[in-house]
Amino acid sequence: MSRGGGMPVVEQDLTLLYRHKDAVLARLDALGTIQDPAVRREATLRLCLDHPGIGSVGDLLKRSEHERLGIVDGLLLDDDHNQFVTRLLRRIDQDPVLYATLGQVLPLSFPPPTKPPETPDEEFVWGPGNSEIATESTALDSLLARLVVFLCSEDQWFRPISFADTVRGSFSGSIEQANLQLRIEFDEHKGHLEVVGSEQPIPETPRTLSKNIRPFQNQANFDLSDGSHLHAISSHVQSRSGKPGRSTTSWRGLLDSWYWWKSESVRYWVGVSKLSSWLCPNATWHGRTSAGWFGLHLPGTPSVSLVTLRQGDDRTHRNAIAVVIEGVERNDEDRKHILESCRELLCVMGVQVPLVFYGYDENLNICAAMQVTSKGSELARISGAPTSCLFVPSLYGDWLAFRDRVWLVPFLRRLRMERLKRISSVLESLLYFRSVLEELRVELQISKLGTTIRILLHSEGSLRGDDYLDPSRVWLSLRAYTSNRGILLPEGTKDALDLSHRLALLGDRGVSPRRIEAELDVERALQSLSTLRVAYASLIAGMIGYTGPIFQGLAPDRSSSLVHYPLKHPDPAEVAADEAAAIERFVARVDATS
Amino acid sequence: MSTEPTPGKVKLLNTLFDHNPPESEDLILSLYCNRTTELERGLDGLRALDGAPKIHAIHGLPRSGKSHFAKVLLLKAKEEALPFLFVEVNANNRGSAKAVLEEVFFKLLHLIRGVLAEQVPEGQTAVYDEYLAELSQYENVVGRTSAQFTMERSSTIRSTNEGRFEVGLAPFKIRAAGKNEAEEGDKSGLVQTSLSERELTEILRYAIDALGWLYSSQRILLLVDDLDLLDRKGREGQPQSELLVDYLQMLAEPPTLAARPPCLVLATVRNASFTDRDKDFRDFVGLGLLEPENHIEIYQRHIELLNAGAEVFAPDTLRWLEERSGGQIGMFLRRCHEVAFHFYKDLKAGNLITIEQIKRYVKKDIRDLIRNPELASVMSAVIGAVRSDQPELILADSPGALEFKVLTQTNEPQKYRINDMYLDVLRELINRKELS
Repeated sequence: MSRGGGMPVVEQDLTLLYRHKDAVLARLDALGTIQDPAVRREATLRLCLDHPGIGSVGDLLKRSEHERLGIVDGLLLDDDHNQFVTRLLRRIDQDPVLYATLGQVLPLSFPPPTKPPETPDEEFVWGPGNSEIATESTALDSLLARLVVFLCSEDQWFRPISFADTVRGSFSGSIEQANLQLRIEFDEHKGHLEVVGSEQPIPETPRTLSKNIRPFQNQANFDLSDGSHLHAISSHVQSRSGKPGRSTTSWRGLLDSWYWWKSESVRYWVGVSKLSSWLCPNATWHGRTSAGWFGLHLPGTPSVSLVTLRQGDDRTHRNAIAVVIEGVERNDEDRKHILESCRELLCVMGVQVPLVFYGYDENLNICAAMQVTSKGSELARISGAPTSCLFVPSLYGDWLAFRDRVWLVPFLRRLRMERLKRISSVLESLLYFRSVLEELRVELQISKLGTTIRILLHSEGSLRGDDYLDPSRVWLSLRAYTSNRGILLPEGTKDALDLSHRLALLGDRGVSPRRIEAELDVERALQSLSTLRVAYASLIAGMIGYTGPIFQGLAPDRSSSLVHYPLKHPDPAEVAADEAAAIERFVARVDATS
Repeated sequence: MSTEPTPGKVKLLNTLFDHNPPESEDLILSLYCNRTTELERGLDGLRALDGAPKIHAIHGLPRSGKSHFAKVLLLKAKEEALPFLFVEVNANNRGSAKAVLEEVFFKLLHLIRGVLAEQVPEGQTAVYDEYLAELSQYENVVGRTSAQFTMERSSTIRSTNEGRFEVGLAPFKIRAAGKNEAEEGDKSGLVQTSLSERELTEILRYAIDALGWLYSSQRILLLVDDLDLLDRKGREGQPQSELLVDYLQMLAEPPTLAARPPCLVLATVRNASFTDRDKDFRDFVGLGLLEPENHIEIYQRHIELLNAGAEVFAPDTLRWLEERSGGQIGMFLRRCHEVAFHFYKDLKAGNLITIEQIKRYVKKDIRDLIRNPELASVMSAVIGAVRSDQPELILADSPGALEFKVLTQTNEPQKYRINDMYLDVLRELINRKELS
């Protein structure tokens, strides 16, 4: 039997493994005793670094038994060596957990066992096919449960809060005034906070460098008559009225990035955002199903819950989603950090970031509020994908098709883990991905989506130097990147990426780079957009380790999703973890005595 | 910390840690370490030939020291005055089987021409002259690709008894082609511009016959080093190496033209090639990997003989390097050489090189590789794999200069393994955010 040019590597590897046979076997045994996945992965990597020959064991295990025996026999090993190799092969082959552990570090050498070909119908069954849906629901923290019930049943979330008048403070960077009595008006739908001064001195703004150069940010700080406080990073006078030369007059000022607090004992922050009608409430599950509330809960620190609010009587807020974030920090920077952590989650769900978050104390009273963004524009759709399905299938029909699995949960949970990294290419690219959702024109969406993918590759170091200028280099980098990580891209990714490149450089003419008559073929453009979205979602999924399905398109009956699985050889342990997360249930149970 | 060179000793830094076998006989023997059993087995094989008409293979893993072993074996055989005429050729990267056969031809011709008058059997000068004249006629065409000649195959093998010696008939009669013949050559097919491998092999058999006649008590021992590395580009198919094995096999097979003992063909080959064609090879000596302590001993011998006894690496550094050599002495020496000569000032000053210095060297090397436009994309893939904590990766194209240095090919096409020395340092760079 010809062993090919690379077989000396196998022989050398097995020789070196044999040289350290006791250590190798002991370390393999030890791997099985490590519970913490991160520690186990690191230990596996160290094992593979110290004994790189372990990769050849995987290469042998991939072959048929007949072929494997032929190779080992051909190596002319002495008896003891042969016994060791046989034992080593058997040790790994018969221990699926150990095999999967090694596969985490050496996925090329230890790919998951090949599955039989699946029929389209079976594509919906992922991971252990016989796993039963969890019937037990975990009860939410009692305060959170009460808050959820409170939000859903008391319609509190859209009632505007009222602010007391100020008693002292400073406006637009002026010196603090002891008797500054301003009225505060709150436009909840815009998130605006205005101060109104009636017969009040106009605050003196700080000295400017010149007539035309004014400080960009002028802070405002107020003490309010009810003992609460208000701080704004920026403030400025919007309008004034009164006779010239008088020191007092009537004026209105606007506060930006404001933060109000009566108490800083915030237990939960709640923000409410309008929902697109595309988001099927049933797809995000949580709450009290019998009452028709649905939602999603992501445990962790801070925990994040999303509750769909349905108010039949109020058409304006017919579909809205409340984002509930556990309050765990105190200072401004940490608050900002907490709120940022939900941005990516909402982006994945196609939900705009709420303008204002309200802080609830343990008695479910609003004790603080803050404006987190002044941009309230609705997010655009990426054609072919409901806004809730930009990444994972989240249609009502999917809930049935996946037998009660909600794939959004494992996806978001894994995405949240990215926050723990100091630098995350995933989160950086998601920021840019948001800009795709702000575009209305298809060709610009294609262009930006292509850019998003190039940014991702660039952040990852795959796209170097000026390679991003060359579509073929971009494709080569993407192909190598995905190949090395076992990420499966949808068909047509190369063409779609090339199109995005040309559109970015030539605008509409990029479709057909002729001097005249360049016209976008809409059907092709929509297909390219869809392909790029699936490619990007697959990349993100591969990078965060999500093993579940990606939304590929609507099924012909439009009731459920066609899906794409982003990983060629997902780690069974990770598949099981995603399965568990997808079927995990939380319930907001309010005890009558609480 | 530094170590003083031993007084009276000189440094031969040019050859320090050279991973190729040394050229000088002294160094060949003095740098040889361990493998006494294998050497004894080889010598026994030469002392009592089993007569198997096969290529005798010295086989082992790549960079395990086969070439050095073969050189030592031949030197020891010479020391013992074993009855052989030694001819050595190196096939490594020669590109074609024919190139190797041509070199063998000229070396055999050189041997025949170098015969002293008193070595020619008494009264047989005419026979010697006939052999020499016949072989000389081939000299004009061997190694040339643009000669024009006609060649006529001898129809029978003529053996003449001239006293007690038999003279073989030269296999071909060669005649330079005139202009007319050349013009008609295409039609007749007689005019050639070069010899085929097969024809060359027959000429070699004739030369071996001649030497057998001149040195009746000795046999030709032809050592072909790195037989299977003849054409590195043909990694999978290796057609030229396969061809060479076929023709060397013919040299090893009896009967020769004049029924004299055939040539003993000895070759160094990697294990894979040996087992692929084990029907053509005789398992002469198999070499395993050296033990770590042997590597250290070889290092010490390099230090003693070539660096005036001055240590180059601190002990822990030496172990660190050894552990990353993959058990291959060639790789170990190569790494020692690269690192030592990167810190040439320290080497000359006798300052011990530390692990941290090696990592610095590797870091610099990594940065150089990243900046190299030809290697940048592969390095990018390597870095991507390291970022994912994966020591293996698939490359669509050849890694070029990164092979052996940063990457090792596995037994699967396009799948490479990142060498641990580089992987360790890359991980450090990534963790410290020093890689953009």
